[in-house]
Amino acid sequence: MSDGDFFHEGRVAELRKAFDQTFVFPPREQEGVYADLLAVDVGGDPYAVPLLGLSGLYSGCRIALVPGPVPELIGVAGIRGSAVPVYGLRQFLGYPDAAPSGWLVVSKESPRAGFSFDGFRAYARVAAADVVPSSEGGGARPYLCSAARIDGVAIPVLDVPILLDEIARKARAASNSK
Amino acid sequence: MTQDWTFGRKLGAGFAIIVALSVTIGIVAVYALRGVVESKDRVIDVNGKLLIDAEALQATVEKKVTTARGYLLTREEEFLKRMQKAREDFGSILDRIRGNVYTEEGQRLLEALERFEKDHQETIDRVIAMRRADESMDKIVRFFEEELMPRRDKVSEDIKAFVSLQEEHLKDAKEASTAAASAASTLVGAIAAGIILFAVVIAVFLTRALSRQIGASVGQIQSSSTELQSAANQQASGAKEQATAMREITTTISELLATSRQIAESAQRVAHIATDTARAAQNGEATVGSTHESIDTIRRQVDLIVNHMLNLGKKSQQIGGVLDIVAELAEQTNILAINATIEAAGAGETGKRFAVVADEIRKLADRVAGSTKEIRGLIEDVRAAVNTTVMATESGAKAVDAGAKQFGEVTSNFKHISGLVTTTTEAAREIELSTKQQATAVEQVNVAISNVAQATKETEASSSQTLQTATQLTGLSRDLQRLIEPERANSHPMGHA
Repeated sequence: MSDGDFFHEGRVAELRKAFDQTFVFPPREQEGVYADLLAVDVGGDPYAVPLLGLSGLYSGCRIALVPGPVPELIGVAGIRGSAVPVYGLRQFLGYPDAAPSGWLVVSKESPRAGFSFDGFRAYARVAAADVVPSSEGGGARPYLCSAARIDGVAIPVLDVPILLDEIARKARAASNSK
Repeated sequence: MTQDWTFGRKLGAGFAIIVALSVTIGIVAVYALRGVVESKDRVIDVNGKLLIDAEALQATVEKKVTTARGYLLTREEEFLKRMQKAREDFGSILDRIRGNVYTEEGQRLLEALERFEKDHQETIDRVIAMRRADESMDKIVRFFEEELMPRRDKVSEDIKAFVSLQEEHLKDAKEASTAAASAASTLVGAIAAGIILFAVVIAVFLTRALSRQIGASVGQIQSSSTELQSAANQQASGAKEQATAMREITTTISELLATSRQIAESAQRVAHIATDTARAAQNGEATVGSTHESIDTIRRQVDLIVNHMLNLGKKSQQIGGVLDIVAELAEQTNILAINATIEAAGAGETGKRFAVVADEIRKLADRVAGSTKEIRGLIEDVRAAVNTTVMATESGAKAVDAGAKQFGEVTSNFKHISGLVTTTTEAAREIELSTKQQATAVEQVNVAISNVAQATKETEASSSQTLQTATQLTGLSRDLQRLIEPERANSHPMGHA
């Protein structure tokens, strides 16, 4: 056995106790200012997506590839009865193209848009003080305007509204160029 | 050819020649003396007797004349008888003389003497007849003087002539006898001188031949004695070395004997050990047989273990499949909880409590996901363990197969070992027996070596004696060489000695 800790005699009792205690104490409300983040994997690197700008997390989605005026557009996915355009975070973050994994986050603001990434890592709730502005806020990628410290590691935070603005700008630029 | 003759033969031949020459000279001397004696005898017996007889004839003639005168004077018949006797003596003497005369002159003189005597006798008879006839004395004297005396003188002259002839013959015979004696003396002297010369030559020849032959032989004896001395030296040193070697061999043989006894004892122990080993090998063979049966049982148990492990692996795979569903459910639950959290956040104040529930659900989902990961890890560990166990078991099965095969070989080897140990036991016993025989033989060799060592000591003593004898022989040969050829002996001393 590779990990002998799982086989000590008190392991099952510990699991049982932790599960039982979940229902023993009353629900605790989060006190203070905090931010809910989704840690995702893009090109092997971790990125955080604020939960406030999202309407949902989905996996196993089928994406129909369609061309569009914005280069980061991959295709269209069906999300709960409506067609949502899907953009690739690889394309936004400068990673080489790859087949879509099926993981999507969908923006809350209308018009809704989906963003494809390579994998879901974890749900994280961090203090607001742990989210700090990034130096790239005014650069080529304005949607990476901040970074969050999760488990002691600082990872860049994608700002979904700025991504949507970037998409709208590129769409307008494309229509103007036509 | 004479070079091959022995000393005795050469000396015998030399003495034989000397004896033969001596016999020859003796014979020659005898013949010469006999010739001298014959000449002397002839001078004495023939010539001297003839002279005597001639004188006797003269005497008989005178006697006849005297008796005739007597008769004439006396007329006695006795004188006639005497005269007749004298005449008979004259005849017999004449006959004897005639038998001894060997010359024609002598025979002629004798014939003339016989005629003269007959004539003289007839004259005497006539004068006697005149006396008987009584003739005158004067006439008778005259007749006597005139007729008879001349005839008597004639006879006497003839006798004198014969005597003179015989005296000459006697002289010649004397001279011949002297010449014969001188010739014999000369011949004997010449032969003696020849014999002496020949004897000297033979002596020189024999001396040289014997000196040369004896010298060569003595030289060979010297060389041989020198070589014999050298050989005796070598033999003496060799005998000493041999004696030393014999002592070493005796010591070695004694050690070999002790070693042989030790080997015999060791072989005996080996035989006992081999017997015990054979017994142990038989027990081991039986043990291997029972072990082989146990191995077959283990092989069947291992097959069962492999089958159970394979089933365990299949079950683990099925658990993994179920766990995938559980993990997917946990993930979907997590997604749903997150989405519920999002929806709760959009619901405002009323959604807070729902958000708490959603958070609890998400945490449970996380816990399920974590447990699922743990279970997956455990299952992977189980599968890896199963695979390892299966592989190990299969390796064990193969090892068991190999072990079974090796045990078969071990069984065969045990049988072979048992046979070899039996052979070893027999060989060890043969070695023990052979070593005992060898020890006996070595003891015999030891005795023989002791005898050889004794013989070597005797040989050493004999070599010393031989060396001494060779040295004496060398000295003797040198002395002999000095006796034969002193110069050579002095110029060629015995350098090697």
